[in-house]
Amino acid sequence: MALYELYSHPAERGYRAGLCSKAALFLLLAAALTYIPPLLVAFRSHGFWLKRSSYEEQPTVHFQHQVLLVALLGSERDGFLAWSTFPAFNRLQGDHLRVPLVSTREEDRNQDGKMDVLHFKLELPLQSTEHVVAVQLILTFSYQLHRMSTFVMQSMAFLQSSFAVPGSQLYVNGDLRLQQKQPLHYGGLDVRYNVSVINGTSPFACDYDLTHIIAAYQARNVTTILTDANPIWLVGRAAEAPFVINAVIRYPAEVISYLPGFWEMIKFAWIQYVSILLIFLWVFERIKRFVFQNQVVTTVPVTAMPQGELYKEHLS
Amino acid sequence: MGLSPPAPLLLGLLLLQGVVRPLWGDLVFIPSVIRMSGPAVSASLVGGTEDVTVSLALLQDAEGLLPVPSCGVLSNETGDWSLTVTPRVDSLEVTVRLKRDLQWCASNETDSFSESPCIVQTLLVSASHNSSCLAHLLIQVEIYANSSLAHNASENVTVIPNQVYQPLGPCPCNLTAGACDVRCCCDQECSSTLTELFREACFTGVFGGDVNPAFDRLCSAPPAPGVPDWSPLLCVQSPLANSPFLGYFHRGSASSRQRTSVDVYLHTDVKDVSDFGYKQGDPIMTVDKAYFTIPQVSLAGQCLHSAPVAFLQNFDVRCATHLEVYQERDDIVNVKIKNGAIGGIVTPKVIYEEATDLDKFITSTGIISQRFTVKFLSYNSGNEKESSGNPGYQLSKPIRALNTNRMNNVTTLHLWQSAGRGLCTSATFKPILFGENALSGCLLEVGLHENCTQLRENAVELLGSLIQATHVATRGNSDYRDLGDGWLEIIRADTPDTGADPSVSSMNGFCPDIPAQLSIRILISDAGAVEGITQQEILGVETRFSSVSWQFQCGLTCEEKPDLAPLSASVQFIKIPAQLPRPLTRFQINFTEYDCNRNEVCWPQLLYPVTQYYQGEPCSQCVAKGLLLVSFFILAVFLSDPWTRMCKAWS
Repeated sequence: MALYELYSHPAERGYRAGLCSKAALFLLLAAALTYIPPLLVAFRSHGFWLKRSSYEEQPTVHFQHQVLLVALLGSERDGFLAWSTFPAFNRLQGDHLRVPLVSTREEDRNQDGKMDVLHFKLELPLQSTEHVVAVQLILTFSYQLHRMSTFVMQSMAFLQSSFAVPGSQLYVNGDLRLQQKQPLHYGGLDVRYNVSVINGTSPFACDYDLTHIIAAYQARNVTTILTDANPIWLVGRAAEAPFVINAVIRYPAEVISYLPGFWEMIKFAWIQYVSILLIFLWVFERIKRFVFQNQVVTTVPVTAMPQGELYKEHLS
Repeated sequence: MGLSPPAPLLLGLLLLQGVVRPLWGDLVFIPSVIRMSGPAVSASLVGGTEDVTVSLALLQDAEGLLPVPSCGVLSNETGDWSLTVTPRVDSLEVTVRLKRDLQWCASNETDSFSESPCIVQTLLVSASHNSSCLAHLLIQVEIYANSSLAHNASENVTVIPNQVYQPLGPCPCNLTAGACDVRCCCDQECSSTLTELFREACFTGVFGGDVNPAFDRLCSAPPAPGVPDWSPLLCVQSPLANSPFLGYFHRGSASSRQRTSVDVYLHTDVKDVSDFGYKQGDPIMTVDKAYFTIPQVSLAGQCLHSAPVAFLQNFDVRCATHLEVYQERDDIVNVKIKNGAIGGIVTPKVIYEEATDLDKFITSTGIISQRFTVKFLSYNSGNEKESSGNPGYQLSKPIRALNTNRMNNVTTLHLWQSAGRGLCTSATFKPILFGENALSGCLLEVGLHENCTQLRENAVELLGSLIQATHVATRGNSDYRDLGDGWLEIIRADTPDTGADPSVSSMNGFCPDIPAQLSIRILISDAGAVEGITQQEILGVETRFSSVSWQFQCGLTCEEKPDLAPLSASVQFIKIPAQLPRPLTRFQINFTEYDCNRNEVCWPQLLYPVTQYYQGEPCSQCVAKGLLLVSFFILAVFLSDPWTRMCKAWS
């Protein structure tokens, strides 16, 4: 009957020497060459530290029911009509104030508790001699992210559109997208932009200057923008019909970039380090075995006996 | 029974009789008229309810007219009706109840929805004091025989199917009980003729009755997009009634609470805080508790005429208004402004000046342009020196210059600001501002037969008018009177001499060496810092003229129309570092091991999370977590094999 090797186990052999001997020095050098070069190799080949990462989230957006509208009338000698939900602004407008009918509805299409789309309709009453050729509209939203840092901000959608011919209806269909100039944090509370975009309580005209509002808003590092390059102007308004602004604004899921936390960076760095460390460990294990077996450095070999065994090994 | 409702008739009668008095704090029933359709009804009696008796009377109409109520005979029981009065905190609650059972009403009718009411009566509840009537409550009773009145609620229990086997609401769009819901095709109360009317527009989905939608694991369902290709292998053969959604309830929490209120106010109260003095930013008030307004520009350049003025906020705006809608503000002389002390009033002093040139203010199309400036002056202001910075120059302040040839005339360096057609003769000057590179120009008219010398003289004179100065201040606060207080002489390079060169004259409209470009170069540098703000100063100013050869542009024929020669002037600010940088060697340029701006894997970022380059967490937290890792490492080292062996060897 032929015999096969069914099982084997390693028997340890130790090598003894003094702590100040060449062997100890060699071991120290080998340890340094085993553990430090993988770090350098992993670092210098780029991407060792995860400095930026991203995740996806559907934001919690609510329309705050704050509207500021400026409608420019073409023929009537640079006339304009304005209205907003801020009473101080309305008082400033004097004769140019025209109160529209605003109806809004937010819809949660997939029943996940977060709104998905805003249907906004504004009907501005006009006399038969008035014609709207340009519209500037600001809507404000409350925008919240929760999955990593709790990020709460008040943002706006600014729509500015004009047409060469007097229009009867303006149709806007776009998304409210997040614009990040710097990454968000991975945790904690971030409410630095939880201030209202328009200071509605101020009675002064300079606080409602659109250039100031936009300048202060664009100075923020995280904003939202309404992406609709081409709003559609419909023509053909009946004599006493109102000018209608019909907006459908979607709140899509966003890919948000953030600064990873300490442990996330360490985890990814560790993975890279250990996978290169394995190679070095294997290589230097072979070198150490060669050095000690062939007595390149002077040591005293000792066979380490497993405890409990009192008889000598039978080597056949 | 075909009765016309008697309530308006009776009320009219009562009014005529003067019985119903207007509410001036007297007793009144709230509500004062009730249409009763159930067996009990209640109302509140408010007002002076002390010592008041409440009585009930059944009114019988005779010949269409109801009798005028009298409060002499009081009763609180009338046949089938009983009246109970319950005192509350500041009112009395009055309840009228039908004593008789309605069973006999329902048993007479077989159809639960009868057309005619079962009971029609008129009741009058009166509140009186000492036999004089104070208030009345009119109750018009119209009770229909209703199956819900006839049956007790506990007798027939609606059987709710077990949710495990059958969904509770098989038809969610069946919202109205006992009536047909439009567009709801699963509503059993709809007759077939009604259903035919809206069959094409039925509600779809779960709301329309499809409470067992085909889930994506069903074999008979079409594969949903995004489902992996192997899904037909693991699909479920099952009838639709065995839906995995059985037993799930819609708890109604999916719709988010409307957090923002939709209140829109058209007007708001004007807050007056000026009685105790004005703070910066407060609106200036008049004695009429209104804002003091001056037209200002807002929105997208539109002029708002009643814009309030903020205390200590200067502004300078230009408004353009059409003459047709322009309204002169005559009341400005009558405005009385509160001055901050209680009772103190300031009256504005209006000074009118007549304008000589109306074209500057009113365009040909009838638009008037007005300029409104508000400047707050303190009582001892007005004699401070105007400076461009203290001590260094501030950005966007004009360059200070002196002209020693003209009795120390204070001036500054200029560039053209063309207007209209852009001719040099009509251009105004705009001062050069510190730190702003600028380029400007204008057009010089040249006649066909003009002498080259004359042209050169004109050009030199025009360009020279921009730099009518000899010295420029180094600092922003250099004293004009003291030439030694930091004044630099302007270096004029390549100044063209205007001496007539007779060999060069107008030859077919060609003139060489016409100075056409003035370039001013100003050297600036940082000169220290004051309170952390770096101060900048001017190190030198150089003006240089560049010449071009100019040719009269003719078409096929040279017309008599003057040609236009463009002249340009530019100013450039050149920043000089405090110490000249040493030129870098090639090795220094390529060696970026320690320069983290040019190398992604620079050595200072080797331990990136614990350095200050990492901004994701506060530095203290990073260091703490780093030390935690180091402690794990040390623990691992002490528990590892060589160390334990060494410990054992020692002990």
